[in-house]
Amino acid sequence: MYPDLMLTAGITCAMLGALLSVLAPDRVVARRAATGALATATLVVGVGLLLHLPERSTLALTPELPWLSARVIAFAALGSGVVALALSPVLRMSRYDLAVLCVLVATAAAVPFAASPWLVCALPLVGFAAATASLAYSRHGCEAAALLVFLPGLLSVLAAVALGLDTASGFAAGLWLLTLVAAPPLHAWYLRLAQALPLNLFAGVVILQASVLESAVAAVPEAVQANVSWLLALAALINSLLAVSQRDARRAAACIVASQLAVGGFAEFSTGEAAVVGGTFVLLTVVTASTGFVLLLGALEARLGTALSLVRPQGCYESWPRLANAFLVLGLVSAGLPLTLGYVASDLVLRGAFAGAAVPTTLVVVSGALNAMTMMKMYLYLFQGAAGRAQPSDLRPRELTVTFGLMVSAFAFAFGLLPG
Amino acid sequence: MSAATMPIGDQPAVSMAGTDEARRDELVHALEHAAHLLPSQPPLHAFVHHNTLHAFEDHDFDDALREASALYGTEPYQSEQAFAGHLASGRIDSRDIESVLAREPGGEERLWPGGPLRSRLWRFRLRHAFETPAAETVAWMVSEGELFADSHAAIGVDARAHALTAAGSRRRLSLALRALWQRLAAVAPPAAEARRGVRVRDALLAVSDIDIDEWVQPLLIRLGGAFLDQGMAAVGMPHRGAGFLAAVRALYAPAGVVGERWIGGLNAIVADHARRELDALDTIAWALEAAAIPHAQWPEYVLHTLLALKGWAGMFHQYETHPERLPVRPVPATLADFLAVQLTLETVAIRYALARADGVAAHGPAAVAIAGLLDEAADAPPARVDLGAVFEAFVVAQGLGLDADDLASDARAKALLDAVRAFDGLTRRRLLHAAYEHHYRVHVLDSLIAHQPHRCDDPQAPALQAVFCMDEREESLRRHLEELSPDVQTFGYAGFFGVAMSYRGLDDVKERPLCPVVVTPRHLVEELPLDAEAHARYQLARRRRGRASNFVRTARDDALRGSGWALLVGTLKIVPLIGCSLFPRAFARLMHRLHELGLERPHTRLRVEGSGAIDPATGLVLGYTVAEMSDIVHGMLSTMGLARGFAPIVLIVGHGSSSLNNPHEAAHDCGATGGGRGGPNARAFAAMANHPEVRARLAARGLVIDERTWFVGAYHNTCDDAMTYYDTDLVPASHRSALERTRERLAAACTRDAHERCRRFESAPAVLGIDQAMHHAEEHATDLGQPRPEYGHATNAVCVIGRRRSTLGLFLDRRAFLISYDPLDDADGDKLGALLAAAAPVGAGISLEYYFSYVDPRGYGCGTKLPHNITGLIGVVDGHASDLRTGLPWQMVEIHEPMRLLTVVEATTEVLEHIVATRPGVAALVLNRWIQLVAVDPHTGAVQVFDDGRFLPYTPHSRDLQLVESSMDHYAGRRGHLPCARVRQEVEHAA
Amino acid sequence: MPPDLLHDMVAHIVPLVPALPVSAFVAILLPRLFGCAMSERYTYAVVSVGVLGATLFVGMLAALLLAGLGTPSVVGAGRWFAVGHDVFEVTFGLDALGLAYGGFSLLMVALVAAFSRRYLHREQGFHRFYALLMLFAAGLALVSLAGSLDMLLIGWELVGISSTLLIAFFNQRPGPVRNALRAFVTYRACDVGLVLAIVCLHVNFGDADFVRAEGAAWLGMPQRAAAGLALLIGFSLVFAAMGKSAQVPFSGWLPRAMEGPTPSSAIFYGALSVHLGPFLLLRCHEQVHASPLIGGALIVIGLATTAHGALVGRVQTDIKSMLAYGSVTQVGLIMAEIGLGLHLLALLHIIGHAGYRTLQILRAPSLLHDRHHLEQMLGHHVSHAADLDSGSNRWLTLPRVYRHALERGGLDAVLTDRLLGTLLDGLRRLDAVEQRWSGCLARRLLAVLPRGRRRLRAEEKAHVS
Repeated sequence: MYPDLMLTAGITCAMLGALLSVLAPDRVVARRAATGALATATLVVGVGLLLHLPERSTLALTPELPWLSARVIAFAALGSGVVALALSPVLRMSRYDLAVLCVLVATAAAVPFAASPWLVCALPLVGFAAATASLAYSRHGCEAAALLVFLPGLLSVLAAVALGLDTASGFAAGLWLLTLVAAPPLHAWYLRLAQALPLNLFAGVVILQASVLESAVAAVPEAVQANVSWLLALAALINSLLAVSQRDARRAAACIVASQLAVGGFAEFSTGEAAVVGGTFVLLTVVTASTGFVLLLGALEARLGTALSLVRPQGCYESWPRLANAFLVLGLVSAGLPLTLGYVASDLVLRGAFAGAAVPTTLVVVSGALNAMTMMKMYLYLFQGAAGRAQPSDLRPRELTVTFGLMVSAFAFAFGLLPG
Repeated sequence: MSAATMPIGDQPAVSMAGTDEARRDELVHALEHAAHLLPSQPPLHAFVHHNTLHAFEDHDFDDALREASALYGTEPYQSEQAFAGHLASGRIDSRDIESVLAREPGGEERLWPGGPLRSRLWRFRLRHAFETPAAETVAWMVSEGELFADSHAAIGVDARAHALTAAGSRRRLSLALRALWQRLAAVAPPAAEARRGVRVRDALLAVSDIDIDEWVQPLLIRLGGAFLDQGMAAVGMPHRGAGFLAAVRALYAPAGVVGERWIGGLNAIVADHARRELDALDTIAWALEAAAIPHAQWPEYVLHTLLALKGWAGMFHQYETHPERLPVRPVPATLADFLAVQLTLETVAIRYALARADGVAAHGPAAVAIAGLLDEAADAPPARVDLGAVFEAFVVAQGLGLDADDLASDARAKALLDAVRAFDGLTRRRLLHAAYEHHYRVHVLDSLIAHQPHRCDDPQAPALQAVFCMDEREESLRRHLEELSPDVQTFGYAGFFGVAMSYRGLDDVKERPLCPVVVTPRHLVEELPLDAEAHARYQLARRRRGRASNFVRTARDDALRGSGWALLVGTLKIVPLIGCSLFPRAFARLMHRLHELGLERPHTRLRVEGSGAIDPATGLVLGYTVAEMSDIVHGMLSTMGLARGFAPIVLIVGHGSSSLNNPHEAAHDCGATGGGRGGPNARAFAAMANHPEVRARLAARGLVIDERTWFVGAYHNTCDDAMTYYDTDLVPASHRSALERTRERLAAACTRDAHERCRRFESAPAVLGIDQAMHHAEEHATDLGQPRPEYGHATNAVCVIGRRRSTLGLFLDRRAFLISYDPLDDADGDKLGALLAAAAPVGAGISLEYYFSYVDPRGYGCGTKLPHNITGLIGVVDGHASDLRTGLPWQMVEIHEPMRLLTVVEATTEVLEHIVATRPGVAALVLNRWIQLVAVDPHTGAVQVFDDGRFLPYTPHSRDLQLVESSMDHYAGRRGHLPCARVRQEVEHAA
Repeated sequence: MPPDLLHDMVAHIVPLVPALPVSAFVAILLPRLFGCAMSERYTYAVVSVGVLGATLFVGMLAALLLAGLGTPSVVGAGRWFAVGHDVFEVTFGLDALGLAYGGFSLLMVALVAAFSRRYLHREQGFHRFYALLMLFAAGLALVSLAGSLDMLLIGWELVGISSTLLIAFFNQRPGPVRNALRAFVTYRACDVGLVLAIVCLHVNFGDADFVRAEGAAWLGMPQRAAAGLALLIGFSLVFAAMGKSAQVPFSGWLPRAMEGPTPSSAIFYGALSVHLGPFLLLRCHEQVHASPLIGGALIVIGLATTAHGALVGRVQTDIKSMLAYGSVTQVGLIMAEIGLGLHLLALLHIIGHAGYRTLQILRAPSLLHDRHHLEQMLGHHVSHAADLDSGSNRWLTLPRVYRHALERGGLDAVLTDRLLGTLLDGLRRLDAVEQRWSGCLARRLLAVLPRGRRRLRAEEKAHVS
């Protein structure tokens, strides 16, 4: 039981962070407290993970070791939480937002270890409630808050009750999962959330979604799993198509992340052994690279002060070259650039899932290509295309170190730590 | 833009039987006005340096720059960062700043009673340049809290330390800064309104984010390029003879060819217009009526529509007004046709955008009623606070040592803000530019004055006299020639040497004018072979090789023959690729030798003398009569002051340049010959001067040329410093040895000239051996991968008109146009007047072209050479399809110092004032300050600078002028601009 | 030299060929990431070590192959990741085709790198240009020396990304950026074919490695698939090759790709990037000839592209578009040759065409100088197009035909504006509908809560004023 003690200590530490940030006198102290708490939580869970790892050489990441992949996701979630804090502007992030982010990350770390499927459905409700609360207080987000409460919240309760009573639980769990992954037509709440919420809180929601998906297999009954994986593949393609056609950068980013989550979900639910492991890798990419790419989008929007449009190339590379290059690398990693984690994930998913379900896998391949196109369009249109002059607001040292850490972790996972 | 609802898609009301005369005249006038403001650069092969803002020459220099910057959206001066660099490097020093600030009115007032002086604020802003970020980025810096962590870096290290000690602790400093920011933000002015475009396209873009230029311009560029093509495409545009509008209508009349969705409506409109035979003006009127533009704004709308693609529009206008300057064949292009096609396409695009915008919820507020398009775009955007101005005032306050309680009252804060906004970027850059020019002017005038006592008069019995072009690249060659052999006397004159002719060389297909652009030649001079039979053999060999290489050229691009070529020869082509990548010079010499194998060029003569017969093909007079020839020779020799003491050999040296990989090759040639090479002019002048009858007439007019004197024509290639001598077989036996010695002297001088030039190329080692210099210069001229064959007129700054005595032995760093003029025998100044009328526009044209292409490479220049794509044999576009790029590429101007030409004339102020009063061309340049005029009294040497309307005496700031043993000691191992220096003369060595 | 000793030596050398350019890429960018600007000499030194080293090694391998080994072979170099029985083996293939094309490519990259040393001197993007050139060299080395289709895909995508970022080299103008995106969309859409082919091979046969069939001069992929599957794999590979080599209907991006600096346009679209498609088909010639249908389709596509390129090329009025369509024409012919099975001819045609087209594009800026010199030699104007009544090619001057050619065969209009445009407009309409119904649904829901009603009223007031 030794590692579980470390894990619970980590999660309580994250919750403590939320409490501290609310009680702190002003924003700068609150921010330092929250970052400290989350960093210690990450450290604790990381040590727990290393202690428990068998010698690396014999490791073949097979599905028989679910607790290992769950632990890795928890570690990555907490790590990305630290990044989300570091990349957000100091003053614009109120104390309550800091608390909400800590709660989101804590629940994301806790969900993979939920004992019963009922708990898997119920726990995210805590995270969503925190996100809704922050939206309700912020001036402009009222209708999105209402929508948020209605859809995923209600469906989570429905699924939890159905699983508990074991009646029509398949349909309820499936509907809950599809809403969670923002499969169209149930994606309205997600796009509104992306437009209304500050982008680092939205990154917290993405981390929560990824960790819930990781352990969703247990929650969804066997009978329904085949249909759900089919629907998830379809959702991935439609979301990618929506992302390509978007004119607003935030909605495009939300569609891309939803599409990648759907691919992760599809891989988890497929039968092939490699696909399940691939699914974990996809979710790992979402937690590290995709949240990083969303956060950098937030950093750019904070500097420009206006909504980011994808209608024509208007970006200026000289103003913030480091921000542009970091965005390109993280975008390409999440779109599956060769020699990176994204490529390993998509390769495993395709090989594993194609045997069982050829057509959905083809949809996933096409959606992967569309996501890469949207990613390159966002990089080219947001950071290139206009002459300008050097602005004194490129990535700050603290932001650079954290983003660089994120990139190294994405590459490290691809090469070193996990695969034998 | 007055409010006018735009009819959606239906026919405009006005009857189209043909708009009435008043409307058409109005349009013709509008087109002429717009054409005047378009770039006036001819096709590349006839590139001539001219004032990019020639249309604004009737305004004062600074006003013209401001108006042009507003109209074209370009930069008037160097950026503030560049000026900050000049301040740091000492190129601008405090004395220049003080002299400029002293002349600015209102410097002595105080911002508020007891407050800081306005001049103190100005001095701080000029000396401490800092970057003002965009308003939104300032908001981000405030939210990041960075702005208040420490005082701004721009106020200097000691000021920051002082502020920290005054505040006590860092926390208290940031609190003080935050309070200061709040004080200023409280009185923040509203943001300036973004400049609203005039065209319907700008309104549509502002409202519905649809930019019809992204649809119309690619198509218009393809059509314009195809119409103006001088021979790139294998197949030309059909029906080009009927003009651009007719050709486009012929293309788009037949329906059914699949095209983009927006162009669907074009067929109907084109068919309707063809049926009603609307000419260009009617079509323009129809389009303006369709867009419901009020008649009062038609001229402005026409101008801004043409400025959208000002490169192509300018070239259409050049085809219309100067057909003789086209490389191959005139094409009936008119600006009215171009505007008619552009407006027709824009109308079709607007109608499609309207239909589409209603269908799809436009970006921004849902389904804005596009009908009220023009007034919707006209109303003011929501007022935002101008955080940029607050940021500037915040940093200035820190610089002046003010804090929150100094600005306690709103009035004071407002006063500071207004003072900072009044001293805006444009004013600062104007003053910094004036200081930039003041520094160099003072240095050159001081050097000239310090050099006056050391002037030694011309050698009594010169062994050689050489007349060069006034081009500043020849200044160093003349200086090295004089250093090497003191018994040489050099002169400078306009590079066409008075011979304004149209010239057809032995191999040329078409004759081309070799004279200043303002002059249209009436005479034709041809190069004829001596031995017809040798010429026939030579011609046959060249035609055979020409046909062979032309066959290869067409084969490469043809499908089947191309693949055959690829299989047979393609792999071998790697050898030339290796050659031109790794050993460019050796490879080029090898290819030249191979090419010249078995092709000895026959000896030729210029047919300079003619009986006045008219050449039927060109309508030009064949050759010159003796009277005309003697006038030309007399004109140049007397103006230059070469009327007696002739040397046995008088060399006339024209110049030009030849380089690879350089679409703007003609820009390096001689400006006085209209972008051509001055060799034939020099050769023609020498032939005229050697003509016995001409000498007899000159003797009769009092100009006796010693019969022992012989004139020799020559050509100096400024790119690889090679000299070519013409008609050396005519030189009498007695002069052979003198000619040989002349060749050696010139060869030595050219080597040293190449050595001095190579210090500017970073690719050459700083300390270069003399013998490697020639090698390096030749490599630059023949290297396919070298975008900088030579630096041409870059760094031109001064024009000295007077006797060589005043600049003999003075190192001017290849920056001075030197024109020989003897003021003593031109009391009334009519020779000087004629000289200034010819030379001033050429010098000003070169100086201002380099100024604008350096200051704004994107707006005035044509940017970097790397993406250039030659189109239609007439110009370059950037990459795939862009506007035709006019102006100079960056690689030609990158080492230039943008300043107005400092013209120093050795003449009395009365003569100069008389010339300015009587010559309108010179008056426009001098009175509107496009050039700087300085008079040096020929007798007393007193220097007077022309400033706002009159001459003011100039007192030198320092008397010392560096003395160096030779030019090479001065420049060896140094790459940047060098100060003037006096080179110890041979005579002094002997003494 | 005992074969096994030779084998390990080769096994150690081969990975160095792609590794050297990649390490050069990292060595150029890393110092800049931490803010220290390196000199041009440093970057050029790193580049020359990277490229010359790789070229040297390929030369050694070719020598080894000719002298010692004599038989083309696949060399394993460890594995990248493994999950159960799905393993990603890092393998390299050494045969005449791979070494010939790899050696030739790296030589051309080295020459263009030397050429660009002076051409991009003092240019703002000097280091970025060389970093992307190294990425391109690494991609080429991986494609030509790949031991399996998976390794080939890695090199294939690296070439795509470096080509896109070099087209957008001049990022201060919207034109190059928009054309770079168009090129990337074409690459990525056609890469779907290659990915599907790889996945099919893995699922049905366990691996996508190249093997040496006895008697075959080159490595290839044994044809093991049943009829239906073979067609799918074959057409996927052809689809992938069509994108990268700008075959009809995907040839709209090639003239637009000439936005980058002249040397990069020369090396990418004159010499190497355009010929990757034919190289892929030469490598998988068994799949292409698995059924006559595929070979026939390839011939039709090749000839259609040749006709399209020849027609449109004769009407272009700027030098780089003319040369772009010259490349399209020749690559179309190469595809037809592969369809006919003339593999050796195709390889020679690739190397020959790359040879002369690169020099032609590099010489493009000297066009005025060369044309003036040629006209002096000929004694008359070369251009017949300037004649207003151009005699030859009567049929090309028919308005409908000329307009079709000037509009570049309407490919851009049909493919990008009509097909993609309507698809995107439809999606945007779908999106707008979704925004509208979710907005009013949320409002009605919020009206249920008391606090929500107050907030709604406050919002209406703010919106109206």
